[in-house]
Amino acid sequence: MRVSSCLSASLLTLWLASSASGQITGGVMTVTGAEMH
Amino acid sequence: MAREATARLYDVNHDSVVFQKLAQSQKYDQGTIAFQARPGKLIDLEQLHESIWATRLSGGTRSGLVTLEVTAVGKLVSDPDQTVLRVADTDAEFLLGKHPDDSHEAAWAKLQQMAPQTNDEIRVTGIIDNYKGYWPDVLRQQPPTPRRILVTELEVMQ
Repeated sequence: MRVSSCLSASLLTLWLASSASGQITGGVMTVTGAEMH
Repeated sequence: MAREATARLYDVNHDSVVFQKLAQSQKYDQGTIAFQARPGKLIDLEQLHESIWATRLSGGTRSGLVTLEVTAVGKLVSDPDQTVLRVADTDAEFLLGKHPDDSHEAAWAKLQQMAPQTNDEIRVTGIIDNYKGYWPDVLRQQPPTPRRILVTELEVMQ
C-alpha cells in the first residue's frame, strides 16, 4: 500500500510539473512599501 | 515576501529571481523583482498570483504592486477587432494594446505593421494592464483573461 501510494504521488507530481500551463518566459514586478520583498 | 512567493513557483528559475531596491520616493521604497522561467518552461501568471496571495500579505501597510512587466513569445493570430498574441506551444493568448507612454510608440507602430497572417514568431514585452494596487486587494481575484499587455518592446525572432 505504501509503495503504491508513493508511486502514485510521484507520478502525479511528474504530471503536474510537465503540464505546460504557463504563458511567459519572464518578468519584472515593481513593488512598493514595507512588505515589498 | 513577494520575492519568495515568486521564487517558490516550480517553473521559475530560482537563481534568476533578483530583488533590487530602487531609490526612495517620498515615504516608501520601491523595488523590482526580476524573474525568468527555467529553460524550456513557461511561468503561469495565475499560479504566480496564487503564490503571492498565499503569503497572506497584510493590508494597511500601503505596500503593493506598481506594475508587472512580462515577456511572452508567440505569433499574432487573426482577429478583426483586436491584436492577439498566441503563446508558442500553448493555447494561451494575450491581447496586445498600446502603452500610453509615447516612448513605446515605435514598438506599437511596428506591431501594427505586421500582418496577422505572418508566420513570424515575435517576442513581446509589456505591462499587464489594470494589474496594480495595494496588498491584499490587488490579489483578491484573478484579473480577467485573456490578459492585456501594453506593449513596450517588440522583437521579431529569427
